[in-house]
Amino acid sequence: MTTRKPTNSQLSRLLLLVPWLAQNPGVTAKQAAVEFDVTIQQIERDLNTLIVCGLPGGYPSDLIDIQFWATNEDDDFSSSLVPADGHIHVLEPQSLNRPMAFTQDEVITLLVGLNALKDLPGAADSDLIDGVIAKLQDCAGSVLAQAPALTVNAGDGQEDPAVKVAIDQAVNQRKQLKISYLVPARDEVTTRVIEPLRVVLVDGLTYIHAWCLSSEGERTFRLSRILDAELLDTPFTSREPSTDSFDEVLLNDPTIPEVVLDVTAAGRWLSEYATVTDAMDLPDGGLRITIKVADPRWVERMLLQAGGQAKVVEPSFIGASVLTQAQQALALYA
Amino acid sequence: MAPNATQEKTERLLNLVVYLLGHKQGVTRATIRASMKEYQGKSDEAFERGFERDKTDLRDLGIPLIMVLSPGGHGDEAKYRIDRSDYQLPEISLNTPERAVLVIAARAWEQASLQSTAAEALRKLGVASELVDLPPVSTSLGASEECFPTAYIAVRDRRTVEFAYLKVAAAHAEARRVQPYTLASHRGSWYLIGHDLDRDAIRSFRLSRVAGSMNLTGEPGSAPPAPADLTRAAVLEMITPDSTGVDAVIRLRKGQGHALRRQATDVRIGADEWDTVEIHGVDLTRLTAQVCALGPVAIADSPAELRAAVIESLTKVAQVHQ
Repeated sequence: MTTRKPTNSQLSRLLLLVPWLAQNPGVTAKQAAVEFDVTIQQIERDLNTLIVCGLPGGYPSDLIDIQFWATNEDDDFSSSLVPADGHIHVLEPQSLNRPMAFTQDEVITLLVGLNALKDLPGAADSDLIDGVIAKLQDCAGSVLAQAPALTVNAGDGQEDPAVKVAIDQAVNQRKQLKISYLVPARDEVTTRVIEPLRVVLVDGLTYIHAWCLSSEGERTFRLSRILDAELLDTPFTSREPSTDSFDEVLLNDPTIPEVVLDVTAAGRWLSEYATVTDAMDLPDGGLRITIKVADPRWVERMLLQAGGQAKVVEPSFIGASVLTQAQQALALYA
Repeated sequence: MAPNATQEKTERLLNLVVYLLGHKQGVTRATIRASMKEYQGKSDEAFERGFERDKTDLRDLGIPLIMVLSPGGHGDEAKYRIDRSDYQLPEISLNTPERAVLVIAARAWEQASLQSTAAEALRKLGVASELVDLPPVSTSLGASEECFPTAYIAVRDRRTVEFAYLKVAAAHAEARRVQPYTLASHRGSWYLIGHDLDRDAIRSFRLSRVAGSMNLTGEPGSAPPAPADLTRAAVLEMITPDSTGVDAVIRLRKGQGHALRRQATDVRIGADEWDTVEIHGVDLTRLTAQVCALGPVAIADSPAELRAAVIESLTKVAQVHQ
């Protein structure tokens, strides 16, 4: 994203392709196409352009020299032909051996992304991340001086540092973990044995996606709700993490029921805290929303704390339960 | 432009970059014209026009093409130069674990408009993301709010923005004019922090509550820079719930109310079905919500304003569900 319109995106790519290929000797056109997010045919056109360019003079030694080897060991090549699975070697980059300097946006995106990783178990120790940040800052030089600092606040402040350490060890050593887990919607603490497969930071919160031996299935745990974690000496039962992203797991579960709520104009912000699948404006400025709720007790708790700014349309049993709980609670103050 | 002309132009510009990068001392316009076959055989006027356009195109791509006058020389002696130190990314060596964290950091923007920027940065570092073994970690910084790209440009280029904003618990959006200072994210939502011109005060705006589009006004650099005392801590304080607040005493039914028990500084086990917890320094609004959420499992004993807030809130909940 930049205000500047790329007037010649092929030229930008060519200036970057040469140093990138030089740094990754032996890659194929197919691999380069994936990394540059273009077609293989485009990479082939790019390579065919590069090999006719270079310094003025027209001698072979003036040109950018890129060769294509049938295998990585073999130098049986044909420089006028770019086979899609040939291994690409830059023999003479002319003066294009380095990419262009970072733009402000480029260095900001990487630095913000790295900072978000710093406190995450399973990623890397923070010294390593600090080291990469320092290298990038050196590399960026003056563009960074005027760059805006973006702040990312990860977590909800209730994560236990000792739990983080245990998760980090479990992920790296692939050993089982025994946890005490708080489920506020059910107001209970359960003990489970898990094999952490993946650490996910999404919506500012850290989740552990794990194989749960206690429920014999993949489950997702919010880090701040793990009250206690003990590293066991038992290795993982060999299992590969499922490839579904976290959001897909959450949204595509057909067993998750839908709840319809009316929120007032002043309570529209409540919809920001739920997974809304449908929304419709109401004549009084309010909103009728359909949300996905894994556990009806979650929506009951949300309604109990909404101060009358949200009410259940359906299913009616949830509305009845909310009314009973509110009346019982008020009776305690009578 | 016809495909052939586009191709010719790309090759000409690439050759010009290679030529100028390869000549540290710079090259005069006349030498460029004589050396590069692409410029040969053109009238003076056609060459001048073409060369000017090529220079502009290279500069638009961010290539630091400069013109230097030789000391005491004439305009004709001016030399064109691309300084390597300005053009290129300095050498940077990265080991495998370092490459892996960079790939994860870049992928944090996958849902956002900055995705291609992060990918380009990785390519400049020579990191082939598909060829690196990654630890089982993924992050998402969100930034999928419709006005995020505009808000980002506003902060980066210091340009005032105008937008309609729907405040929490407000029924209608209000027009705002803001000189942007910074962007911050909490709980996955991005906030613009800046000087609200009509209220003459620093305010934070949750981007998801911007109604409609956000419009850039003013020239780049025309808005003032962020004040020095706007530290990370100050920014977070603006967008997170107040962490200093009331001290409360709450009764919880035995074996229940785990979330509040966790925050307690003291838990007294009662002889009846209730235990008593003390919680220090919490936000009144947040605590009211937490107590209400527990229904008949919790009783707010003190302070009086917490007790009153819980009763008022639950009374309204009961009314709308009757």
